[in-house]
Amino acid sequence: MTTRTRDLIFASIALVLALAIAITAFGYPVGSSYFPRTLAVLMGVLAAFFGTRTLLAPGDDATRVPPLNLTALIAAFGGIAAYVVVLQLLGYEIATYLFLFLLMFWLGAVGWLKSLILAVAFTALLNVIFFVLLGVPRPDGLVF
Amino acid sequence: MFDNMLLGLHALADPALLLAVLIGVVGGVVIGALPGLTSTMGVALLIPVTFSLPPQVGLAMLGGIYCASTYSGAISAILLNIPGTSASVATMLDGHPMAKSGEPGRAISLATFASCIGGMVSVIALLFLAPQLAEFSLRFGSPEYFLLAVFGITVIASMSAGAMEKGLIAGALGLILSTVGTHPLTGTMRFTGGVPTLFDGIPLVVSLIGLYSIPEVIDLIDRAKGTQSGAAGVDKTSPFGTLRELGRQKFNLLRSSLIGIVVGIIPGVGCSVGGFLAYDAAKKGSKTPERFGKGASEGLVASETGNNAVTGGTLIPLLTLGIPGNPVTAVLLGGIMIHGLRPGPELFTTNADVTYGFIFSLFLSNLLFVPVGLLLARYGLRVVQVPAGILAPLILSLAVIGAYSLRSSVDDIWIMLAIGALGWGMAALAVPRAPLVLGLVLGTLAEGELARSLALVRGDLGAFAVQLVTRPVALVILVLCVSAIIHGIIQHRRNSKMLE
Repeated sequence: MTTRTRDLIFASIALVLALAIAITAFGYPVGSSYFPRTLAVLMGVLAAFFGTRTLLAPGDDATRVPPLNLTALIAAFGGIAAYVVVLQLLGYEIATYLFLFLLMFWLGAVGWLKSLILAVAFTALLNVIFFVLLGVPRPDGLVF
Repeated sequence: MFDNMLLGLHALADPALLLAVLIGVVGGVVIGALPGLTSTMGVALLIPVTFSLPPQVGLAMLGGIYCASTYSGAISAILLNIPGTSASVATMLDGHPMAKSGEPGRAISLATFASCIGGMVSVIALLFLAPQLAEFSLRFGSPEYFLLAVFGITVIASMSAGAMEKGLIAGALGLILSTVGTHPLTGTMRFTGGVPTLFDGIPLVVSLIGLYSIPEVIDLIDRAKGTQSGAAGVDKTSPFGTLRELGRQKFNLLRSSLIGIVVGIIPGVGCSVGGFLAYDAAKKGSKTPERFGKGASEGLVASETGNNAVTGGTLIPLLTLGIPGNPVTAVLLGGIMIHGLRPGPELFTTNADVTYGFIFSLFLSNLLFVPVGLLLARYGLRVVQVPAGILAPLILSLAVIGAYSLRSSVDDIWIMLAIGALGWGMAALAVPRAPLVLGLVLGTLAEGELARSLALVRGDLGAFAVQLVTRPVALVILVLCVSAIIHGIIQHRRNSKMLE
């Protein structure tokens, strides 16, 4: 993908987003929504202007951008989503330990034993900092 | 007044007070460096501990946390590109690039000493000019607040030089995101989708964690899986070597301190705005503005000086008028009143020993966080040596508990994830994220004060416009806004010509 393509994608997404926000904002009473309405219109105009300028720019920019690593993306978002679901089922400690151990093991920086030790140690550390020292209420799990 | 100051100075001879400051500073440095923990949380949690302590000892501890945590957000901002507190967002703009280019030690040293200087200058202002400066804060009404927010928003254009439309779109999106939740005057729910967690809006800290930590972790996972090269090695810059570098930036330090103090005096604006405005002023005043955003020391120094100078500034309206400038000082106000003290003139006369003891303890806090911060950072520098495959899971788990701990709500983790997706998308499309943060910070202030200003003139736009030019403080800010916009346009045209 070139920088030109990337910028066109951005302009398109920004324009669609501005339209969606504008449609929602215009559904609220005027007195409560003049600010988001104005901003959505501004955003749409800027996106259209940027997209047009990019399209009309000389097409000799062949600068390529690094490809996206979807594995890393899925690992991060999927991992957190699974973590939160398990947290609400099994409680904070088990969920955090499993999350840390499995992700460290998959990333392969250290072997399974070190991953296990680090996962337990860091879970304990977070537990002490947040729940003991700072008094943050522990999130409830369904089972534990 | 000088007799009262001597009384306050005498309080520093109390070993209990010195220990309290040390505990506060150490706690503050740790709290500020960990993303997800806020100064407000630290101060609120320690207030019960101070019940059994004499007032000046208790207040000294709370002041230590406040000053130290405002500074130490720079440590994770520089090393991990994740702001420890909202005050250190502007620090990331040049701090992290400097660290990535192989000078994390230099970046942290500059940030530490700059924060110390900013904090000390603001405490001097508090000590000698509190009543006079407090009067200045009373001149700010809704029109002035609105214009101040607009002025802050003009900084968005300046921060986006080189990608102006992208930065402005990001800023507009940030402003729109700040409208999620309840309208400040009418109570209408906007953009909540019926989700109760969003009724109070999107929490800033949760947004910062998502916006910066998720893309950074994805980057680390990339590195761990071997598709990217590793970080630059650790540099061995002596902390004291950077003092000479700071000596060459005296004007930057002074200007940033003054900006921070003024921002701090105005209730409701906050440390992050002080950092951004100081950064912007440094960029506009620099002979080499194109270096900003790539590791310019002036940018780093300005943002850290500015945000720490806000701390003393916020204490001016708090101690003289009982008006808290931000959530931290609101909690501090509770702490002051719990100890039987009342903000106002009597605090500087009848309770002068406590008040001046507290002010002098702030000097000490600003000095103490230098060795404590540098020591913590010395170990923190090793973070850049930790394999990405270990660092990524640790940061993610910290991000999750940090997002949860703000309101003890699992829903905040989902919000963090959603904002994280937005942050990743912005990073992938080379859209600057700092303008979005600025929009989020200033949007509530801008809309709320605009709504109040219009309500005061019963919706008459003409009368509102007249107010903007006839109120002296509003006029000054309006002139600043116009000059900032003109400067931004000139800069953009200059950059475009250079690219051609």
